[in-house]
Amino acid sequence: MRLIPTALAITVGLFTLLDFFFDHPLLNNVGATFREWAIILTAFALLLGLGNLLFVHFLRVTRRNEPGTGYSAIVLVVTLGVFAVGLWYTLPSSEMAWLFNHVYLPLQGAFFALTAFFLATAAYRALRARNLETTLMVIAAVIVLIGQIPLAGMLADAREWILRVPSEAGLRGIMLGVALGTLATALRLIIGMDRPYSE
Amino acid sequence: MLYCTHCGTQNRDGSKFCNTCGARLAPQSGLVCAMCSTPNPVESVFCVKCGARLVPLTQPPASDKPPAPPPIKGLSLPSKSATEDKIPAQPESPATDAAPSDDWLAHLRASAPADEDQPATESAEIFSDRSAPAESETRAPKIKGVEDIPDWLNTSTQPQAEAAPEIAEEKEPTWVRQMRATMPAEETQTPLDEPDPTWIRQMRAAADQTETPPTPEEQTPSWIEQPRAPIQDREPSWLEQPGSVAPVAEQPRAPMPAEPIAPVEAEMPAWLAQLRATARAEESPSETISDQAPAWLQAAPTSAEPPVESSEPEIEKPDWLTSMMAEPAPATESAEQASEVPDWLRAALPPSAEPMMPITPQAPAETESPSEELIESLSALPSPFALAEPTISGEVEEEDIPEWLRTAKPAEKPEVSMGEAAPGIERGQVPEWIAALKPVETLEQWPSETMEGEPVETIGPLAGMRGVLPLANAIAEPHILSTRPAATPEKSGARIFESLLSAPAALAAPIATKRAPTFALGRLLVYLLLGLVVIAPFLLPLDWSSALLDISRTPTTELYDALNALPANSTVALAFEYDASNAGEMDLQARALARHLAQRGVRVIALSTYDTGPQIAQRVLEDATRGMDKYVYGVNYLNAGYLAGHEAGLAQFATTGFAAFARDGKQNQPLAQFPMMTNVKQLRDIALVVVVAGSDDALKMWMDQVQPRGVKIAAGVSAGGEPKARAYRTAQQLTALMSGLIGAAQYEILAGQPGLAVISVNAQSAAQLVFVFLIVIGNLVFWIGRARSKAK
Repeated sequence: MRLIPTALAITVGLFTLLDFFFDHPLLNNVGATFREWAIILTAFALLLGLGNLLFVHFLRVTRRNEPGTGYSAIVLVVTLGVFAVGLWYTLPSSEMAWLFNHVYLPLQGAFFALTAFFLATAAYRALRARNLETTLMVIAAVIVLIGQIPLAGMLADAREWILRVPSEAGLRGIMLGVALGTLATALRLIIGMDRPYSE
Repeated sequence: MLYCTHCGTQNRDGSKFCNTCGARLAPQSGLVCAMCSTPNPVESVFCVKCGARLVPLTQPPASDKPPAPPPIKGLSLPSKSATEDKIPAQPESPATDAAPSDDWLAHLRASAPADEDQPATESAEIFSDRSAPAESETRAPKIKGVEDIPDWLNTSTQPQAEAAPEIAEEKEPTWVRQMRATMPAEETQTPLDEPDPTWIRQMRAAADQTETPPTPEEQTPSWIEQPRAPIQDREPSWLEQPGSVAPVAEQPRAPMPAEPIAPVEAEMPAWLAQLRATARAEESPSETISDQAPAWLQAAPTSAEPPVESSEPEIEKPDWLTSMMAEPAPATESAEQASEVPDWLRAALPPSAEPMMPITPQAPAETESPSEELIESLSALPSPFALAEPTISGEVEEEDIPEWLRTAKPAEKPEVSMGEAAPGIERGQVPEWIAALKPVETLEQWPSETMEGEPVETIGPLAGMRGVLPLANAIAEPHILSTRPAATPEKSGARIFESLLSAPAALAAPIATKRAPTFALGRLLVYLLLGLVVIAPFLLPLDWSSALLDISRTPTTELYDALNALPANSTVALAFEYDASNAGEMDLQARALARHLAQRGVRVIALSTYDTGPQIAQRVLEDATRGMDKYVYGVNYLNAGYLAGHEAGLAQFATTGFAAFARDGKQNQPLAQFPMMTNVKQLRDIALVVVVAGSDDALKMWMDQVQPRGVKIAAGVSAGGEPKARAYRTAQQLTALMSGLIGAAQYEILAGQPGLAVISVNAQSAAQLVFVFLIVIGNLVFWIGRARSKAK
């Protein structure tokens, strides 16, 4: 029974790969079809995730003595409220834009801004020169932070050198490694060695 | 199972070498039972199969044999050592012997080395059960003779006595031989100086109370030695044989290989022969006995001596021995009657079993003849005789039991009531204090009606009493629980226990550390400081970033130049690839870019692979085009909306173009209806794609799926995504790159419209100074603490 899924995976993978490298009407049409399927599946996965999220929070609300029941109730209420507004006023609409701009966006920005305070305490406790490596890291961090400040123009060149040479070199190496790993994984999937879809 | 003679380890049958020490194994090691030929472990005393004794209690009489091994582990019974073999080597004459005066006891003790391990109490019990050793010694001369010993006993015991030491020698482990080899010769040969067992010392002490210690000449009591010389055939086996053992040192149930009751003159040891010769030469037996007996023994009353028909002179016994002999003794028989060994007993033992039959010489009773003691000892023997018992029971008839044996049976205990005295026994006088304890008065106090139906005690001190155990009442009456009031401590303890049980289980309080309050306070200070320096630039009219920012040689300048080089009616795709969390930073970049493009009259199509992207894009575009009435939605700019499918959707967009979008993100209309989309169908119709990415992953998608299609891409990324985006810029995959809030501020400055990004740079720069300050302070605290700890 694993033959059909494996054959489908190999076929789709090969056609998509060929469509990427070659410009042929047949390959373009087949590739576009496969991508449409992927988009539909992604949208379905998004809906599935939304349904699962609501179900989990619904179970938390219905079950007593569960921790975080109040938060789950809030999630359900807000989700249903926004869903009702979207159904009623359709999307896009000024009402939905108002909810987004005055509720969702400030909340998200505030939560992200809190990370600055945690980073401040982390800078006090974690960035300590305990040995040679950590000393180098602390020095680089201080130079990059100060070099980004317009007042410290003299350290801007040092910051630029750190970002361009050592940092970029390390990141490039990481990206190459990730690319090779991704390529190997893709090949294994295409030739049927790995079958996560049938497990 | 083979047992190693070197280390005693058990080995499998057929093994040639020991598993433990590697020594060569004998074909059959261990103790082989003489009864059933079953091999037994070296430590065994009794056969595991038939129960026969494996380790002889006597030592071989051969004088040329090596000294006996030390007592085998687990052997608690007295066994005969080779001590007496050494006797001829010692100065035999009592006059020249420098040994202690009680050497005759020491000989006995030394001949039973296992007795040293016996507790004194055990020895005392044995002594009390049987008889005193002095008793047996004193009775030795009264042995009638060898003719009173059954023939089967005389003949059967001889091979056993000879075979036993050989077996013991063969099974002697190597460690025993080594130990004996390392042992000094004096110790191995004359263990007479060893301390006597407790029971012997007690006996000696008791004898010393009545008699003066014997002189050195009386080391070996003459009453023992004298009968040996003239009356050889009346010596008991354990005295006659050098390896024999004192009967007192034996456990009652322990069988013992039979000793020849009347040894042949030729087999007599040298020391004994010498004794006899000396005795013959000096005086007659009777005189020798009377003279050489210890004083305490001579002074012993002879009234307790039973009327034994013997020609031997009466031997005086000490008081302590007399008192022991005065104890109630069983009914005695005449010497002739007692000396008769019945025929059934002689025939009971099969000849085949005779060599194997271990016989333990029992301590004879005072008034019994040797045959009686032999019979008594035979009756006390447990297991070995149990083998021969069926033969005896099958052949012996009731009438064959001699009269003396019947009378020797313990009389049936008559039922004697409490009020009657046994015939011949006077009723003892109950002390008054015991009589006062008799619960007669208590019985009278009980209600008479409850006593009815209760049994009457017929015997015992409660005889005649009714209802001593009122079982009927105990059953009939209801059980009443005891309501004893609890004591105050018990009540308080119970209350505490109940309170502990009823108290709700409290969560374990977090362990308060000394550092926690300090760190909490420091954290609060950090938060306050950071909040102040971030808010202050927005409140204070202080703009130092616009003047100090370098805008000449930055990547932002490259982006600005790239956008500035676009023709006026060209179309730019502005991708809003960030969500609301990055909006604070990325909105400034997007707004600056959109404003600049709008100012230049470049058409902008906004799109996003984020579901929240269209909303963000709409807000940014409205802000950027505010005040530009000629820059119209649908004509000059357009919100293409959400591109579903994430990377797959982006790949679809790269191949199919704007057909991947169905409706716009503001009016929910098809894109084809908007005028600006008339000439824009594919990505090749787009002059530049500017990706405003909040993370490097979003930019990576564009670089993977769209840039390979030949589309020019410029990017504005967050400060966190700048290092990875620099790689694309260095590789010329990105046309231009702008990063972070600094890039937005630079772009505003380059566009000549400094705005919120420039003000935000002031706050961000102040926050970065706070970060640097915290890093420095933290390292100073760390290094100072480290130096202090090292100094301590």
